[in-house]
Amino acid sequence: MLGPNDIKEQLSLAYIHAVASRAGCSVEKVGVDRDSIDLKLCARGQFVDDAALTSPELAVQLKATARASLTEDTLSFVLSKKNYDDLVAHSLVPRILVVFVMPEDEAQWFTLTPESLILRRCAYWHSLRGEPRTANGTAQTVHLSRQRLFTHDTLRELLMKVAREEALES
Amino acid sequence: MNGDPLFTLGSRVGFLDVRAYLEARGWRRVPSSRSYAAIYRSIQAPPMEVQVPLDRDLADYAEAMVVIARRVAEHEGRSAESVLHDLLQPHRDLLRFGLEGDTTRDGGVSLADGLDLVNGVRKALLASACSVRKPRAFHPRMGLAEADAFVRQCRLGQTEVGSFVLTVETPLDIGLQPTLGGEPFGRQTAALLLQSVAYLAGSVRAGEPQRVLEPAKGAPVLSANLCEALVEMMPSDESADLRLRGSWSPLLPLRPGVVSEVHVDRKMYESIERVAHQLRPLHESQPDQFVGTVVELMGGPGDRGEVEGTVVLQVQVDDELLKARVTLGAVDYRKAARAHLEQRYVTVRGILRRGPRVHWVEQSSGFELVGGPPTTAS
Repeated sequence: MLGPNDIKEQLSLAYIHAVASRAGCSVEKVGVDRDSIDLKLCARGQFVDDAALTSPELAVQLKATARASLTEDTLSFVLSKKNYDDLVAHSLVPRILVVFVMPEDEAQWFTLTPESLILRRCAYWHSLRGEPRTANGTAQTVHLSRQRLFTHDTLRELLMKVAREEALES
Repeated sequence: MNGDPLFTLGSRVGFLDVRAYLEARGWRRVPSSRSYAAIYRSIQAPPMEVQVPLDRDLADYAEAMVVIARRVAEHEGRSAESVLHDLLQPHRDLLRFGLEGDTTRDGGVSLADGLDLVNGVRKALLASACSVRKPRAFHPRMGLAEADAFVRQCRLGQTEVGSFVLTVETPLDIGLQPTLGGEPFGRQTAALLLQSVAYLAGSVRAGEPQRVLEPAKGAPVLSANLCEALVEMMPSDESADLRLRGSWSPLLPLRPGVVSEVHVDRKMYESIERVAHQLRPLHESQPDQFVGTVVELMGGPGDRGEVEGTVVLQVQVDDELLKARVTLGAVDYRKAARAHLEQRYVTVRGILRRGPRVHWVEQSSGFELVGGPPTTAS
């Protein structure tokens, strides 16, 4: 049997797959955790008319939490030093952090009825590219904007920016 | 970074070499607004695009190189590993000699077959180097300084996954003479080797092996030495074909028409062996005197119960040390045994018949020990 953390991880993957599928993108699982990257989201072909890149990709570090520290505007999430430093590093394929926030009540994580399949709450994304490396010993708290929901529309926007070689934060 | 061997290779690849490789193979660079990336698209179908990292400090530099290698490999119909090896050796051409059969499927080969392959490859390189300077049907000595320098500068590369593949890194130029605008000697040699084998295999496949004895205009002049070298590469289990592949340095444009892959079917070897024999000059069949040592006694009891039969001599022929078999009667066999035990030289007269693997001194006479106290018949 899977433990709660494994279940959270699998449900966050289900969320990513659902969002990517709805956006018309594929999910490429990175076999071994490489530089804190869990998976890649890929679009194939001419994604946007004025694209420089024809097949944009986005590298994702995926986290799930049922004990989110939320304010009205932000989600605070504690990343390990390695994860943080890997995400601030300059890379050819842009990297983002995606944090899937789940209800505290485990029974609410996932429900299924003849009418609906519900994966409650949502994920937020954040780009740490170009931030200074942390001076902390083991971990760094990251503040994600609650405006940056990770949805199929935002995923398409992000990939369009990648295709146009634009900064994700702009 | 993880311990994946491909990523280890990818981290060592230089981006300038990747750009040179792609441009040499017709990939077109398209504008990128990023200073740390270059975008290339293939002109030939299927359409494909790669991003080349232009900064070694990029966190995903190695991964990007592996992605490029995978796409190029898909485009060229070979493995990503072999593409990465090519990218790591941009100043050399790479020749791959693959044995593809039941016994080599796991990537291994018997020690004996491996040695035969290495020896055959060395001779093939030497023969091809000689033919660049002196195209002829037989090189009696293969002792040209340029050919020798070329072979000495060749290196064995890393083995690769798949059937047993011997990779040889050949130098573009050997530095003995300046290359004045022409193609360097090393490239000429590697290209001629593949072109010659392709012509030979094509002739055999067409059922016209005799074509190589009087090659048409523009066709390479094949040497007996090269044919024999190919036969020597043949593994003993008779199940493996030989596949030659050339990967060319991106730093030197490839002249049109150069062959990059040849498949020599196992069933062709008999024809190749016959062609090798026919390419050897007739005057080799004249009797000669040979001096050497006895390195192996292979005899057994004859009709009269005395030991007689074949011995193997190591004899000097021009500047080559050859192992040649000679069949001796009981009296001469005893002399040979004594020479072997006392480490003395022997002399014999006969006709040397060369073979791809085994040489013979035929119609032998006058077998004697050289120097020392006289031998007796008893």
